Amino acid sequence: MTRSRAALFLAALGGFVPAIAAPLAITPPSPHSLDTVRVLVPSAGTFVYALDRTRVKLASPVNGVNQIQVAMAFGAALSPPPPAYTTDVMLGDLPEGAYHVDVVVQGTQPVATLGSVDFTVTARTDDRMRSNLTDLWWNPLESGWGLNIIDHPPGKLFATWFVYDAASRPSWYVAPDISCNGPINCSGGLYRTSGPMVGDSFDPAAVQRSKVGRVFMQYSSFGGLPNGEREGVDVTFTLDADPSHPISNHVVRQPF
Amino acid sequence: MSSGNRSSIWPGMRASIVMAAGLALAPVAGHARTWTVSPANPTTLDAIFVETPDWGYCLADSARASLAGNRIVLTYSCPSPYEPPPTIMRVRLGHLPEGTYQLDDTTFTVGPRPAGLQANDFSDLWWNPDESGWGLNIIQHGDGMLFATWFVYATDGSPTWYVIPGGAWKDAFTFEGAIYRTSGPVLGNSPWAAVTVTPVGDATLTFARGALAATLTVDGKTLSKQLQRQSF
Repeated sequence: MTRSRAALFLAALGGFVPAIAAPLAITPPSPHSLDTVRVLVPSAGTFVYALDRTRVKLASPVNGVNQIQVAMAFGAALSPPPPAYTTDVMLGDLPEGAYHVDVVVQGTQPVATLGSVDFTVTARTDDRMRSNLTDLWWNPLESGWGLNIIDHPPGKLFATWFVYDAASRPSWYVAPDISCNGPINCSGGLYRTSGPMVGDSFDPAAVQRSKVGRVFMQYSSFGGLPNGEREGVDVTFTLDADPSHPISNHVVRQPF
Repeated sequence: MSSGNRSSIWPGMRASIVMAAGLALAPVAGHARTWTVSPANPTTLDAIFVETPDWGYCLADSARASLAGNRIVLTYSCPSPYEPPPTIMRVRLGHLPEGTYQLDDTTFTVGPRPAGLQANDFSDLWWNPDESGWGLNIIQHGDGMLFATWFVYATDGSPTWYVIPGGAWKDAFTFEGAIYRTSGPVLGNSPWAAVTVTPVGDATLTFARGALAATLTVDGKTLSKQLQRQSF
């Protein structure tokens, strides 16, 4: 926090410095390449952030450190003041390198800095998928089912598989802990859950989880993929109840 | 089989592009080290891919990208020059901040997010940690559109799901879309049969103060839930 600059900004906002309540932070704290990196920005007094006007820009490097400027815009001041909160702003799926982030107040001259944070993006380790698979994956020829993958920074994939049961009713399976043993191959247990209807309240203790099989994924991203795809995943579900008949398919990211 | 790593610093560091464990790999003459950027005019909400005609059997899966100033350096391994080469090598760079970047002989610019759209990418698994067992998957595309799948349970306790395949931003914080229930064939049916899609309600997703306030109406019953990103 640069108090002197903030003081100059004080005049522009009619006498109030929108200081943040806590230091900035980065999530994940020790990112790897292609992890989605976010800066966590604590709330600033009574103001709300106008996130639609936030800008995230690459600036000129300083002493070999990449510089990112996050320019926050303020919306209306709330009365009474809202409880303290933290909002997140996506910096990107950043390449390897050292980074310095300044979170500033948009439109101030000189620039009022809310805070700064430094971090380093390192290479993905050998047991990490060499892409960020977070997306809805589908087979365009079989519209109606899909595989939602969330690529969590520790190197785990969380997948939910949306399909139909024998009675044509919508059903889903979850693979909450998929690990990768190289840049393109991942696998994990497949579970079926049952539970109460979601109402005003929900008892998580009533959810039952049964392991029903495994999911295997093989990722590809180089040339030769059909239909001009950029990336694809060969996915195979093996059900314990019928291990001799695995369900295999090729899915791609769902475009809009 | 020889192996080596190549760098995208080209041609200035051509002499150092091969760190071969065996025989040095010679780049194929005549291939300019230029890349096609996709989408052509990316914004900070777009996942960026670069591709180039390949000049050897190089593995995009092995690619590592680093950033120094505005220069992106790609390195990747090329196990053998004798394998049939793929025609195109594609590498996912991902989302980048606004700015102008240099990748070998290619310069591209990442523009700001479209006016009126949220600054953030809300793609994630959103849940209420006090209600573990159900959740809302949100995938946000480059144009800001959200695609959500809501996985819950039916009256008999069996898993069921709904889909919010699109909608519109009402304002900078609030996304509204219809909720649909689908029914369809068991996966593996061949040929794949048509899926029945039935509108059952509406969703209002309000992203504010670091959280998601979801109001979901299905079959006339409305739920209001406070959700957050699921972190591991």
